[in-house]
Amino acid sequence: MVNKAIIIPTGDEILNGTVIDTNSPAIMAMILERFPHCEVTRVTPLADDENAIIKKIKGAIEQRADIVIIIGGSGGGHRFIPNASKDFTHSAIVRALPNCCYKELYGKNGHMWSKLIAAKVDNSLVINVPGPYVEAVAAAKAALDAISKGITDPQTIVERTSMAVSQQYHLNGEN
Amino acid sequence: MDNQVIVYVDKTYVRITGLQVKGLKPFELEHKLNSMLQRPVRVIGVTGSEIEMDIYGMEAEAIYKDEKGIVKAISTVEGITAADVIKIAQAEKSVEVSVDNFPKDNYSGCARERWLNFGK
Repeated sequence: MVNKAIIIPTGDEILNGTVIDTNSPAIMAMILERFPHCEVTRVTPLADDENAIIKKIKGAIEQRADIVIIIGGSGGGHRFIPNASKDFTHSAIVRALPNCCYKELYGKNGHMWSKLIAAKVDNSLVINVPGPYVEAVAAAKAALDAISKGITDPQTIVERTSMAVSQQYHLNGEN
Repeated sequence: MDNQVIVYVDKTYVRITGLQVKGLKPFELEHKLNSMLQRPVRVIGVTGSEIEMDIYGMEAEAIYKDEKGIVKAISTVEGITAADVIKIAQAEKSVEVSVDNFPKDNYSGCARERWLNFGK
């Protein structure tokens, strides 16, 4: 039963309004479709700052949220494109929840495109989804579909979310 | 447990500068460019003055060649205005490297085979 969910969007561009956060409303709608009675909170977006993200995750767990969904900052690596945006969220989650399960998706250029994470702490299942809209929605849908079937094992959740995100990558530019 | 997966796709990283961005809905930009290029586009980073995206299945040379059309399409998206001369500052194809260069984990199999079999 999911009674309480907390959505945590991240990214300077979301916080300062450069980009409108369309991911949180979409994810909130998906939660409510599956759990109509659920109390869903979308917190103030967080800047790309590891300590701020860690603090917010721990706060959500202390509030005994059943699901905590962190949006954005799942990629990065800078191995071959040094000036690409830097992502901090996945490293913050690992620091906050060292026993988490994760799956890293790498492009053939050795650049980590996405790190999907899930962890169960006390009552809370903590997951992350990437920032790009279609990937965020696909990952959240995969996780929520599993949760609605009673699956809360973090390893299974992360298998589902990573598979869902990888299916959004396009082979040979096909739509 | 295998925590690393190589995902085979064909994409080019593109950085657009000369913009003023405020209130952008990235999926609207993706939709606009997708319609124009007939290629999937993913916005992966935005600041107040530039946008980073991945364009799938298109060579960097082709992207530069179509710069005028891309700039025109971008200019019509709500949340984007020209601050300077809008241009493609960077278009870089994902370069294939040896699987030996991938970060090591407790996996002993063939990374290329693992990528080919992912999802089967």
